[in-house]
Amino acid sequence: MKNFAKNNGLIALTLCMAVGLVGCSLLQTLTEGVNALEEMKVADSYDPSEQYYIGRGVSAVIVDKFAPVEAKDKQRERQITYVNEMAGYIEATSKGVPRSARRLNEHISVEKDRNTRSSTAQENVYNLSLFKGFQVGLLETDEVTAFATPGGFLWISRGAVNMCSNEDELAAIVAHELAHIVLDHGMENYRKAHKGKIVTGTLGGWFKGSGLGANFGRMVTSIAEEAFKGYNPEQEYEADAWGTYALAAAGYAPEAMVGMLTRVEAYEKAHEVKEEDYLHHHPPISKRIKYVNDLIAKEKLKPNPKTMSGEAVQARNKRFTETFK
Amino acid sequence: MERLKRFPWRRLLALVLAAAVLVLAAGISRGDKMYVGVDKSSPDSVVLSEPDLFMGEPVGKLMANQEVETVGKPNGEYIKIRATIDGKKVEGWVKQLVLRKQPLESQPRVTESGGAQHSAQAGKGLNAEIEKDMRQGSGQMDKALKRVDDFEATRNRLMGGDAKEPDPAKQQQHYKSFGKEGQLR
Repeated sequence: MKNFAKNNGLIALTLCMAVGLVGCSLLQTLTEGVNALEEMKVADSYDPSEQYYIGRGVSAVIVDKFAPVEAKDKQRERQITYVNEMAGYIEATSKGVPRSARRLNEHISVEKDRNTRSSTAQENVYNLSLFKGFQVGLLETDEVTAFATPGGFLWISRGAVNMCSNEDELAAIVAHELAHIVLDHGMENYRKAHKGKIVTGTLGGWFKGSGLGANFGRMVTSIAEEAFKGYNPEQEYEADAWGTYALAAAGYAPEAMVGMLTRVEAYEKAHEVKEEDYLHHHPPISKRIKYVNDLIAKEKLKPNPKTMSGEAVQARNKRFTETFK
Repeated sequence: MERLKRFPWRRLLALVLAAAVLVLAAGISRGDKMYVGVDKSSPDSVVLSEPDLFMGEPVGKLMANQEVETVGKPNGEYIKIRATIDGKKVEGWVKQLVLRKQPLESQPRVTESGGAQHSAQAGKGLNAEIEKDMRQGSGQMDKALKRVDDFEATRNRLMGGDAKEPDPAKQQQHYKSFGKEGQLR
């Protein structure tokens, strides 16, 4: 029965790709048969509400490792508000930026290192919406790191915020992480790694025994493990590209993406961070900087003169400094 | 007669077929019954008076799985819908991606009057019940999820509304003010 459902899902997918149906619900309906929760096998798609609960579980593993910033005083409240407003604003202004990896790749005319992705993964984002919108949290760690989970949770470390010299660079981090969510990278990795297999998370033996709850636990800890490893090079390039377009659309300097990556590069050198340490799958930062520079030049992404006036930049940097420095 | 023979019938046929595929590919068309795929706390649940967050005003908010009717063609990423909100017929714009042809199986169905219908069909898939099971199976996960609960409550309070029931229209207002104060628009 499962094979039957799976085969029908594949047929539906082929049909959808053939006519380019953006809002094809047939695929979803047919692949729901594969979503056999009893055995917690990996489904082709999870609806927005399910992704929200997956995101909560993954976030739990993240905040177990790094304590979240709590709203203990007005300053911290302001910081949490600020990053949530920034993410919501960037997302709201990102219309026109391609919403799927496939469309983004068609749009990008810059040569880059990339493998051929499966069409299934690219098409899965056709109807990605977030059940409760984006939710951005800060983590109390000096480590420079950030995580994006399925379902719209985004976590940025204090170290990453402190690394930025101005609001536009912080916006680059937020835009890059939003891209991982918009382009469905977290679930894509999970599907690739576990398709058709029983899920076995290994994190510290959090779950013993069987049952739906334990299986769900193994699933979210497994996704969190992938998040800690980092995304693959192709996904990082895509997130850099989407983020750069989104910065420009929001009125920020697209070059802020280069500025942010340059700071990450300096951080890595200063802390002698090796790729295998935490940037497990990331491409070298120097290649990403070149890629974004090429993208800005070839796509002629220019800062908006009005939003980049001295007065406007000063207003943004003033509120950034007052909030975080 | 010769002219008729020379007429590019095949090209015309190809164009007609291409046009038909494009019409199909538009996905959502006028008069479709659709279901809402986001929670009522999501900023995307807000029905706007204009197809633009920065131009439009909120005219109502939708619930997950609420049935709506599309009206007219999409405008960019938005589409006009008709829905019953608090007993009143409302027309306005929402993002196309919040609409689905099938209801969310993991959420309760919604009745015409807007109430949630807790039927045997409600609550399939990954949902709060499964999460509850997961919490009971691991003290570490339960403790970590309490941190996530606290984070969500704080975030909701700071972005408008109360901890459990954030106001999506107030969240949208935050986003607009952020852009304006940063002179980004």
